[in-house]
Amino acid sequence: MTDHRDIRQLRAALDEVTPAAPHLSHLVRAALREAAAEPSRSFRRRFVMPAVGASALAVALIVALTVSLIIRANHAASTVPGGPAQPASGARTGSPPPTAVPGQLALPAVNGYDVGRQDTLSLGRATSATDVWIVQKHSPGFFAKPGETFGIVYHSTDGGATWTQKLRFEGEYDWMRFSADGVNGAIWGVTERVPPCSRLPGDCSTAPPPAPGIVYRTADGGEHWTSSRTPDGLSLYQMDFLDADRGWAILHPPVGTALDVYATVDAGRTWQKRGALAPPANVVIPATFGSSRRLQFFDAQHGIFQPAPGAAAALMTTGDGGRTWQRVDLTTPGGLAGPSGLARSANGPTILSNGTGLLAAWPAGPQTGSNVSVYTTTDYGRTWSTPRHLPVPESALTNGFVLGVTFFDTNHWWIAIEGPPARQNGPTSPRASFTADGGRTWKTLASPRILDLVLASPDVGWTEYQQWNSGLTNLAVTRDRGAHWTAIALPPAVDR
Amino acid sequence: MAMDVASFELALEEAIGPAHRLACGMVHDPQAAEDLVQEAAVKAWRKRHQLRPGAPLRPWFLGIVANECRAHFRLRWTSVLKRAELAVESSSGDLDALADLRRELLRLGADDRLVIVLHVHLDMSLEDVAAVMGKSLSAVRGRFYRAIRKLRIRLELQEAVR
Repeated sequence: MTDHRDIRQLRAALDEVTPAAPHLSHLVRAALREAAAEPSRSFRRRFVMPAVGASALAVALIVALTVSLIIRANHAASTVPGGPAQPASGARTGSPPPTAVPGQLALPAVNGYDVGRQDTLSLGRATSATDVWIVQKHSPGFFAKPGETFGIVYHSTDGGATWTQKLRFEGEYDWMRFSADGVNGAIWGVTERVPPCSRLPGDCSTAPPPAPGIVYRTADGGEHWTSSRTPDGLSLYQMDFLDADRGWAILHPPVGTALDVYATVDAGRTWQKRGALAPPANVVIPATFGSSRRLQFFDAQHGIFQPAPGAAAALMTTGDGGRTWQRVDLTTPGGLAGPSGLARSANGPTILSNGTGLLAAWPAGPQTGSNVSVYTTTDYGRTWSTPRHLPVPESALTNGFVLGVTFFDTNHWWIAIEGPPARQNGPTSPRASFTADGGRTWKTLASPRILDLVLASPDVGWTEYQQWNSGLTNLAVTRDRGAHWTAIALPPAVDR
Repeated sequence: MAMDVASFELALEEAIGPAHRLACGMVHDPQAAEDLVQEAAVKAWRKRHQLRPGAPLRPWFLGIVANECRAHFRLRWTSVLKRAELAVESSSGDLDALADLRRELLRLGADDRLVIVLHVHLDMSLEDVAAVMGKSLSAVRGRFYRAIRKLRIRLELQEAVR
C-alpha cells in the first residue's frame, strides 16, 4: 500500500525538522537531578503555599515596578544626552572580575552562531591570544541538498577584532593542521552527510551514496587552496593529518562492516591502502562519519584509533603507519560504574612528545565531576597505567557533569564542568578547574559553558561556549588561565 | 521499582535520542521538542514505580513522550500559528513538496501522526510501535495504512487544485 517514494519523502520531511541535539542528554540529566532532589510534598505544600507565595510576589513586583518608574522619570529629566560608549560590532567585551565558585559567569552578549539555523562554531588552530582560526559550520543534516552543507574558514591575527575569510569549505569541516610557521596547512572533512542507515548488509532498503573525505591544502597561509578527495566509492569514517601532506583516512563502503586504512603523502591527491581494521566485536560502530577527532597520528608510525565515540575502553593502536592495529584493553578505575559507564564519557587520549600521553575517564551520570581518573602511557598508547583518581576539590565539582578534559602537557590540565543550577529551572553554573602540577593542586573558577577548548599555551585558551538558554555558540578567550574571559564577536553567519 | 537517579539516567540515556526524534516529528519545533523530552523525563522519573520490573524502559518512555506531544497541541495556542506559518515557508518545487507533506502531517490526528513518526522516522517495527502505543499489532497496522492513505489523498487534492 505504500511505496518507497512515499517513505523516502516522509523521511526527508521529518528529518528536516529534526536537528541534532547534542546537549539534550545534559539537559535531561539536570532536569532529573532537580526532580530527584525534590522532597515529596503534601497538597498544601504543592498548591496552597505556591499560590500564596505567587500572590505575595506579584504584589512586591507591582510595588517595585512603580517605584522604579518614578525614579526613572526623575532621572530622565535631569541627565544630558550621551550615555556610556557601546562596544562596536566586532569589538571584544570582557568578563567581570573572577567570580567566586559556585556562580554563573555572565559574559556580555556578542554575535554568535544560531544552532537553530544549523550554524555552529568550530575551533581550529590557535597559537596565541591573537592568532586563531575558526570555522562557521552550516550543516542541515542528513538530507541536506548538494551545496547546503559547508563551512566558512576564518583567520584572525588580532585576537578576533577583525576576521579574514580564508576558505569556503564544501562539506562538513572536521579539523585542520598547519606547520609551525602557519604557511603550509591542510583542512579536511567529509563531503556530505549520508542518511543514518545501518552499516550491516541487508539493513538498508537502499544503499546510501558514498560520502568521501575532502582535503584542502595551502602553501601560502591560506591565500590559495587546492582540494582533493579520498578514493571514489568509499565513505570517510575518520581522518587525520600529521602535517600538510601526510595523512591517514579510515574508509568504508556505504554498506558493510569493513574499515580500511588509507594513507597519503601528497595532501590527498593520491591514496594507498595501508591495512584493515577489525574493531572489537562488542563495540558498536556508528553508521556514518563522526567529527570528533578519534583518529590521531603522532609521527609517521604511531597512531591511535577510537572506534566509537567515547569508547575509551576499546582503543586501537598502530606502530607501523597503519598497516597493523592492536587492541588496547584499559582497566576500569576503582569507583567507576564499569566499562559501559566509562565508555560513554571518556575523552580521547592526548599523546605528547616521546610517546608519553594522558587519557581522562569518568563515569556516566550525575556527580561525575568528583570522580575523574587519569591514565598515563609512555609508549604511544600501547599500554596504559592503572588510572589515578584526581584530587579535584569536592566543593568545585560535586553534582557537576564533566563537559571535557584538555591536557596541554604533562603538568597543565583543564577540566570543564557544568555545575547544578542555583535555583530550580535556573541557569547551571559552569566552571573550569585548572592544574599546573599534573593534578596535585587545583584552582576552580566560574567559566563559560565550555563545549570545546583549544589551548595555545598553558595560560591562553580559546573556547567555543554556549550561554544558558541562548541557542548560540560563541567564542571566548582567556589569557590568564581562566581568571578572566573575553567574549569575541564572530563574523556574521553566511547563508546559502 | 527501587531505582536511584543515576541508574535511571543510565537506563534512560539510550532512549533520549529516539525520544527527541519522536518529539521533533510530532511537533515540528526542535526547541519545543527538547522541552517536551525534558518534561517527559521528569514525568518518567516520578512514575518510575509504574514500570514493571524487567520491562523495557524505551517503549514506556516513548509512550510518555508521545503523551507530552499530544498535550503540547492541546494546551498551546501558539501551535496554531506555527501550523499556519508552515504554509509559506518555501518556494522551490522539492521544498514545496516537503513543506506540503509536513503541513499535512501536522493536520493528521495525533495517533495517526504518532504511528507514522514511530514507524518511518524512528525506523521502529510495527510490533514495537504497538508496544509504545499500547495497542494491538493489527490496530496499529491498520492505522498506519489509513494515515498514509489520508496523506496521499490530501496531497493529491492539493496538487489537483494548483
